[in-house]
Amino acid sequence: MTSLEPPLPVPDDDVLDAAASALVDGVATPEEAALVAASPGGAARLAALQAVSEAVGRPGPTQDPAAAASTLAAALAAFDAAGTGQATGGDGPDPDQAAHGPRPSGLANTAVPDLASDGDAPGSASPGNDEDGDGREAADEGRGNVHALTPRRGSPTSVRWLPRLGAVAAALVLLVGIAVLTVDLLGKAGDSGTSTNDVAAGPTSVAAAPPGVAEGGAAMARTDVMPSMLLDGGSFGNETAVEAIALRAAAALDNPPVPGPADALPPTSDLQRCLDAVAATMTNEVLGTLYQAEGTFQGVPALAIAYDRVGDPPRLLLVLARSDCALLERTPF
Amino acid sequence: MSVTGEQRSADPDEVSLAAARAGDRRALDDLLRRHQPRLWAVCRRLTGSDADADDAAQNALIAIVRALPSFDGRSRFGTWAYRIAVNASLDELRRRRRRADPGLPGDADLSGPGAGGGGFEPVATTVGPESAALAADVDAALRRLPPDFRAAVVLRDLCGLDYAEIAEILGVPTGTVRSRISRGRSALAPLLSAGNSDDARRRPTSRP
Repeated sequence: MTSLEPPLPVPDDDVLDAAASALVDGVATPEEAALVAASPGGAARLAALQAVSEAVGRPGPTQDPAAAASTLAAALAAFDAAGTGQATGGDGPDPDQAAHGPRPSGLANTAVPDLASDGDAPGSASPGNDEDGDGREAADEGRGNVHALTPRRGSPTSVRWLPRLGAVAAALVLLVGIAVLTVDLLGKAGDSGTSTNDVAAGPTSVAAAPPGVAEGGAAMARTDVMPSMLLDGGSFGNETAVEAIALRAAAALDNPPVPGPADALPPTSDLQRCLDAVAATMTNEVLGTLYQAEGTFQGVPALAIAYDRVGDPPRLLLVLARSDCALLERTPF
Repeated sequence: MSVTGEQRSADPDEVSLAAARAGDRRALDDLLRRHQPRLWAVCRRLTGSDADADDAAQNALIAIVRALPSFDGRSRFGTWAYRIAVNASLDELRRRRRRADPGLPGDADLSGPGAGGGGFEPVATTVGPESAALAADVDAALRRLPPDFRAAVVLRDLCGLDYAEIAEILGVPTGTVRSRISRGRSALAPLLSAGNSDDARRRPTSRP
């Protein structure tokens, strides 16, 4: 690739771009892949659209904490106003913030469009208006309706978690209010004194990090949330495309063979070592089953680690060099 | 792949959702806190401003709370919440247009041909030297897209939703989603290439 400049937008480019965009998303047909490969500008267009996808996918600004608290307070106030709330604790925002918080436009406690209602429900968004001229009123379009979707994920393994769900909820409650959470995949057995067995009881194993565990002396609260299961994906062979590894991981996580318990992982293994190396970079992530595989990635002996997380997309793939655990790829998928 | 009720119930959202619907305020707080950052991020990308994103996100969260009793669980909570956030953002854009905010001259015309999912002519852009910084800004680039195209691209690239989910959220066929994403990216490419080319060249490419 020598340039990301796209070719001039002639009509044929629509077809090429459609194929390249489908390749970016991993949904291209063989014909589309062949079209991109055979077109003189195909590689450049693919790179350009891939760059666009990555740029849009990069995390943008985050909400001002005060505004975020106010937003949440307004929602909880709406809950309270509906008369369904239970007094279950006081660590949430004060509902009064809804009226007095630093909302930029004072929308708290004001009428809110019924964005989730059926199209013909009263109170729908922008009732009677079609100001965007697209002939589709938001409510009439039924975008607020709930329909069955083909789930992107769902693991039979998760059935095993059912008895632990109550504890999961409790663990999540414990996480509320912590300014920065760092998730340590398999524990800092080596440097924090927490043994693997201490934290391998399942996804509900939440071990508050001992003082001083934060690396570099940073005053950072750490909470370790451990996977319940390890899923050995074997070898992914010799790959150059991280997407191929992600597909393999997704297939395994969606239809896993019987995984082994997390505490079966030898603390001295490459995986444990590399998890320890990268754990500090992982925040706000809760693990269930951890997929691991090994192979060669772009010529480098590597480990692949994938897991479900609390985030969108809901899975993350890490490809790490076996030699020094350097992060080669980090791909949400 | 079908998902059984047992599998679905393993989703932490399902636990919080069930408790919230039973009146547990703390569970609702957990649920909303878990989704609020990404919902705001979607609103931010769609509206292009912090203030509008704040408004849209607040409307979305309140709408979610009010609609909880009617949520039938046939879709993932996260997908449903995205749908509401997208609606809130599009409504916010309509409100902004009514206000005729002079500070947002670059917004694509909501009544343009692309808004209805039909033909879309990429917005004419001039990326001169003085606007190179603007072109590097994803928000500014996204603002050049009609909102429906913007939503499709954001839901795919920022949220990682698949075409079927985006189609469900936007209420259009998956073929339309595919087209909007492709054409949206095509329109964004010249706007973003100046700012991203250096970064892109540094990244190892894994595709032919």
